[in-house]
Amino acid sequence: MASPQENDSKPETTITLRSNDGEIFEVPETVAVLSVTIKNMVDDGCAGGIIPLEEVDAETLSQVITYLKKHAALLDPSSETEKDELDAEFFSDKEFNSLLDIVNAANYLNIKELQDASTKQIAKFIRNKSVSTVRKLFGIENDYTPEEEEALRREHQWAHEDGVESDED
Amino acid sequence: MDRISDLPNDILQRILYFLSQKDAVRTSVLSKSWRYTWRTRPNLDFSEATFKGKKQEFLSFVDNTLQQYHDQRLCLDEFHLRISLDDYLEYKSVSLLEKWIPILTTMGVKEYRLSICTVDYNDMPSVVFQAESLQQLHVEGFDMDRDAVPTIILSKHLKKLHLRRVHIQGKIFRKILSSCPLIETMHVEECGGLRNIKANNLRRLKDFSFEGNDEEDEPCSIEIYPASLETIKISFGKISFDKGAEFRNLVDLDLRDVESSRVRLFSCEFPSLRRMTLSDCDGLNEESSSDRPRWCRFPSLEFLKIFKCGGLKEIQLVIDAPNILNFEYGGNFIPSISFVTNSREWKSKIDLYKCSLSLLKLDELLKSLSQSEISLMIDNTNIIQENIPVQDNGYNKPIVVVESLNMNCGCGLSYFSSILNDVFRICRPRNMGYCNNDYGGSLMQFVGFMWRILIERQSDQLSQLVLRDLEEASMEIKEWNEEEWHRAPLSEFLISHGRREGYFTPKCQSRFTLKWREIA
Repeated sequence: MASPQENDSKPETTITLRSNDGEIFEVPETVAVLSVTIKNMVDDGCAGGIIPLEEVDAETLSQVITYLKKHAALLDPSSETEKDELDAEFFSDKEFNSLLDIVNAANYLNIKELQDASTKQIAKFIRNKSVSTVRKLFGIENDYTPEEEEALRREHQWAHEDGVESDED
Repeated sequence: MDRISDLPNDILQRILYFLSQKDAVRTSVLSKSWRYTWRTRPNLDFSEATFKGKKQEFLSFVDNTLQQYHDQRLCLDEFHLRISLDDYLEYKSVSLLEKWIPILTTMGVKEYRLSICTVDYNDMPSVVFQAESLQQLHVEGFDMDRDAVPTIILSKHLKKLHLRRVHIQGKIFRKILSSCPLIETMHVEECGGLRNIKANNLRRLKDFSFEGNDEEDEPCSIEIYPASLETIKISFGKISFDKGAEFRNLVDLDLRDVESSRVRLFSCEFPSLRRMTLSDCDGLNEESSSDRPRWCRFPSLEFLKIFKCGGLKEIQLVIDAPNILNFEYGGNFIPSISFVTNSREWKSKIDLYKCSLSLLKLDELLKSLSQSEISLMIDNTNIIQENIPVQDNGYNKPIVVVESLNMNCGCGLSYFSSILNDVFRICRPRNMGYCNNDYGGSLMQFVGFMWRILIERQSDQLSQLVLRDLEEASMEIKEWNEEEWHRAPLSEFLISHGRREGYFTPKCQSRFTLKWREIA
């Protein structure tokens, strides 16, 4: 049974998580409860057993846990620069698909910092990019007719003008 | 495969939150499901500048969008509007502001910023004073002098106030300040009509910046509450600090052209101060200039810059700064400043110009800075002949090593060598160069002269002492586009430098690298 900690020198309580593809992860409680979803489950008394996470696969869960551990280890959690550095490093090697997995996981697990950081990262892919680039990147299918699209562009012409990568067509 | 369009709405809104208004609006064209998503994110940022002169379009866009948010009861957390009131649509803009601001109030927008500017010193629209949850206000070019406005109060939630080129009287400004006690940032620039700023009861004020009009007869006098402040920047103003005032949270202090007869700067406490710049501040001398040096503790100070502060002539300062990284001084006299520090990796830069140089005082200063990497510049000065304690073997006082010494030869070359000898009595530069790369002609003469006396050791220009201690000298040059210096003979420099045409072509630089005998 998980026991409450009295001081720092006691060994940390661990929480056991299971991804939806069956892999087990042991995580210190202080790190795990950065996820509000997990925290709620712990508070409800599930800490003793294994917490199943239906919406997260092993690979994504392992990345999320890495993030949480780094976050918990920050010297100064209120420092924006430290958080920015952590985020920059964490996302530097993430491909677009895993980024989407992380966004979904952060949402499901209700981890505010990771939600902000991952959505911010996705925003970077849209910033200053033309509409067709973004469509290609995200795999979005254009279901406007050419006339509809033209009318829409004209409606907000100012937004499609300079500073923006021009559409190739 | 499209994995993004099906993300839950609140995630999409979060992604769009981080985009500019322009990028967000563009997403409407991605596909039908994206058509209105941009208009549900919790932030709106309208800046007239992005519409590039199409004011009517801008006004319609803001109006339509805001109306949508209001009608659909969408959550709007942040609202920024940047608008100018200068053109033929000014009347329309004001009436739209009168429509929007009440809407924003009813919507309970939490972070709400308004930036309005004008060129013509128009009267400020009174509706701004009704913006209840306004957090940041930036006003430029308006007239806020109207007594007719019934209640000149700003939102009590105001956190940041920035006034630039605004006509405002002291009593009106006071009224404004008294209505927003939560203010954290205040920037006041070039505002005519202000005689004083009394901000002592702004207990949350962290960032205060003031730039006065140097055309005013009387500089604006400023009173602020020390304990909360983190940044203070004042130029062309008058400020006094209470003796022993504790600036508990102050990290950055920048005072330029600040007049005061009672600044008492050096009797205040600055436990967190990391950067201090004092420029053209005359009134720094304390009430009693005693013979005892004033000890000032700056436990966190890293960067200290002092330029042209005549008030320091009468004081002796001991600066206790264990963390100092960089000290810069510029002036026409040698200050009595000494440092007490264990810092091993710091730099100091001393620029002396147009002054009568007391070798003794310079020696004292250099000795106090000897743990740092010193860059010394002596420009256009007269050296006062003085007796320096003999630096010979018998006395065993090490001569301060200076990383670089730059001098200007304003006088004749023959006189210059005696100046050089004097300077070498108190410092041993690793590199020697010149300041003022003005005249091609005299500069080349100067460099040639230095070559002859330092490297060729011609005639008896250098004193015996120097000749004995100077083991080796060589010249290095660096082209303007090069990173590194490289050794070169005089001829190479003369050709390179002589080739320059016109005043503005970047020049190549030269310097002399000197190797001195180690004195045990």
